[in-house]
Amino acid sequence: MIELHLDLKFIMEPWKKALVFSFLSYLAVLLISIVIVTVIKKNIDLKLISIISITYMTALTLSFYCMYKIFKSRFHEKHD
Amino acid sequence: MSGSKKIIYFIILISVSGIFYGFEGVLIGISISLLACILFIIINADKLMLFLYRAKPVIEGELPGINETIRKLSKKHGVPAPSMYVTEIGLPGSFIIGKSADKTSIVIPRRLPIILKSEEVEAVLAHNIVQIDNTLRKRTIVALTATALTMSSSAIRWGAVLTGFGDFNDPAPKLFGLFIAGLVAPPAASLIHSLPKKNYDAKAVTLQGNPAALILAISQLESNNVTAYSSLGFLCLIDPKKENFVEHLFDIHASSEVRIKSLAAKGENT
Repeated sequence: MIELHLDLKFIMEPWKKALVFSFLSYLAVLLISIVIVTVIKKNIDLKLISIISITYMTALTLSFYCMYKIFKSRFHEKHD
Repeated sequence: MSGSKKIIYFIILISVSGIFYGFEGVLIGISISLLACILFIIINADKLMLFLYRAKPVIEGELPGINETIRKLSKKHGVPAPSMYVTEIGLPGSFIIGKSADKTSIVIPRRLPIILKSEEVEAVLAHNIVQIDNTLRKRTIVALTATALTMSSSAIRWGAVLTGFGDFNDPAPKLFGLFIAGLVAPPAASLIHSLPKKNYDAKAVTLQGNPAALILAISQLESNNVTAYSSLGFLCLIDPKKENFVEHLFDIHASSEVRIKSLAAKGENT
């Protein structure tokens, strides 16, 4: 879908492409959370936003690393 | 009293007691109620799966021949025959779920005997029967969790349709659906891929003794494949068609060519 809209070709396995898209979706969730926090606080609270971002990104990276490991082992096993 | 009523009464009881013990009590009560609900879902995963796939018990005289085949295959595999259910939903194939090896249910899509010959249906059923093992309960719970997660994408898409973003197949509802699929697909697919991997193709051939029928069943189902229920592929003989690239995470079976090649080789050896 992304390739169709942006006229790009990614040389990537479909599952990797899906995982990248998913990671971007989760980043969008972080962006929405930051917007909500800023609207509630009526000010850009850098300290709070940094705490939220660091915690969220750490958890996200770790969970995606675990999922990447699982998918990599399974999809490579399937092709062999 | 039905199970759902018991849960509702339980929630009310906990919440009312919580009120007497203040705000913290309410929070504790709600947490306990939530835990009870999760426990209820895990215990009744098979029933909820039957509900989600609108499966109804097969009445006598319905699906002639299939009942006999299931009994024969179950006896040969050394397990009790599963309860038979039929669904009008166009699934990629039949699937089996259960609480244990003794309490199993097989869900057969109505279209299965229409698109397959009797020996191909037997091959598909053999592929289901060999899945009755000590991992069946875990597989059922994973199937329910994955189905519930992936259904949220459809729900959001329908929500977009109903709030005026266009038709179901228009770009805006599709984009909303894709965004939610991007969020839910990796955890659901990693749950599916974390299950122990077993060669059910080989086991089905050993049980039925007809690799040619399984090859034909795979080819026939592939040519009549459906675009839905991506999370159910691991329980069925084939993976459903993909609507978007995110669903590729649910690919569990090897490609048809690879499977057919290995089944043909097995057929030559026997």
